[in-house]
Amino acid sequence: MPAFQALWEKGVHRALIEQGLMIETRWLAESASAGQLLGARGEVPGCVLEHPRVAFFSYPYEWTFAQLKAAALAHLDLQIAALELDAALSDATPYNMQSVGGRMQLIDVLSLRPYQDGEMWVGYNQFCRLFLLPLLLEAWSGVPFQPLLRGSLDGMRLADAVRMLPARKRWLTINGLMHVTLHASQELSHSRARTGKVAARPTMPKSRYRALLTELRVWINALTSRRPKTFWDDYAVDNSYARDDRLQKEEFVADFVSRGASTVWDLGGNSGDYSLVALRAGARHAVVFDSDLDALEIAFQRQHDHPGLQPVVMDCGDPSPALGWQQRERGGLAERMHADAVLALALTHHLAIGRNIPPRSLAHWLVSLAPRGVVEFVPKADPMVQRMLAVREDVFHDYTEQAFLAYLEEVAQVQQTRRLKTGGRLLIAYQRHT
Amino acid sequence: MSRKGRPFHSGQLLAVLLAMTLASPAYAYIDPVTGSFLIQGLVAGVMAVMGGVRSIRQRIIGLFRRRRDDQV
Repeated sequence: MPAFQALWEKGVHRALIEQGLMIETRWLAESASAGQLLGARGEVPGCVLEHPRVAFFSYPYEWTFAQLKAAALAHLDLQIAALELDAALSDATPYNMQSVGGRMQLIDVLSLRPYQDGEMWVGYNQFCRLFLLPLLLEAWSGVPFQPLLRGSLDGMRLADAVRMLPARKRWLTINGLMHVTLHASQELSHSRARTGKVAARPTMPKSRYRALLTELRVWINALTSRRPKTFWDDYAVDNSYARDDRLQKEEFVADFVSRGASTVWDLGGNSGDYSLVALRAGARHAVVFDSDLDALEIAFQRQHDHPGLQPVVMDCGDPSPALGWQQRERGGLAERMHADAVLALALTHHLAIGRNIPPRSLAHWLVSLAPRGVVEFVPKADPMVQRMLAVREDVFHDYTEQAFLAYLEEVAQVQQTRRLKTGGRLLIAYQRHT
Repeated sequence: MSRKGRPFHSGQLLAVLLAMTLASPAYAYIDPVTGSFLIQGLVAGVMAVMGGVRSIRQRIIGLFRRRRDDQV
């Protein structure tokens, strides 16, 4: 508490917030609710801080390469700025960064503490495990990092992860040699119970500490993804839609959103076309969920001009699970549902036919996500579905418009429908039964 | 590189090390972070040199740019 207060009064937090590196924070002087807020061991709060709400709390395994890179750069920028103000962070983890108003910001305000003369970067190992190695996996080996981070909260051990990286890059580049190869080899040699030698406390001049952070920042800024493009990249440009259909759909969605939806979830939203429609129609936040990384990268680029847009890597058929201690440290998708409305456009066939999910289960799941929603039922006659059925046995006996509407009406009230001229797709706006 | 300097507050270091300890059955892990500290001095030294080279290079490029502007 005293350390935090000292830094706060020096204006360190204010400076970092003004630079957009830390989440806005207000110290509530006298808070009526402070008495009701107790710590895990019954501690009484020394102070109460208030932050703006985050539309959708996301984790690094739900970020694209560009998002993790943005988080890494913002994190390093904050470390560098903090060092100038004689402050340092206790750790270096992407779980302390969040997308707030279109920017990656540090949310763990309390992890700032005074810089001690000569101290080294305590978070170096953690930074390399959770930021650097995942980025290098995609930048050097072209392999997406999300499964790696989802599979291990602490990230992979450096010594294990380096084996997935190309030898040429990690031996013949200075950065690779230093941060990857050398770093990993040190981890290994000090793991074999060669204890005792911690007595010597190494120190480092501030200028070197700054150089370490700065050069890492320069290097990471230059990294680009070598991941091969995914199949749906041309989806937004060239698909089975007629232009008329798209305009009808946009109108329907805009009308739906304008009737009251502040936070909208756009499931299978691809590059965010309809999320943008929602934002223009008055939504404050539109979260684009998709498993196509290329489409999401496009959505992330659009976030620059539309800060309300937030891309999230999510497979509807296999959403993020709850992780960590008691499986409550990092909530699964089910624990983070605060949407006002859901858009499920061009999605039903991918889940029901592509992933064999029973239509009844699908309809009920969609309605469980938010009080209102729009779902587009894509019939078997649709060319896309025909393509899917060409390579599958048609066991989807209840994948019909009639059946789907019946399942939907078990849990929600259909308020509006519109038939798209070509192809026979049906847009359905519904409201969950209370 | 001199070894003088105040030690870390042991409680702080312990908290950090505990927080960073990974469960690994194969090795007798004391902490995976010690290695990071020991090479950090070397790595940071190399980074400082790289930073110096980069700033010299930028200064040289800056010189050329200014000359080009003068000629216009």
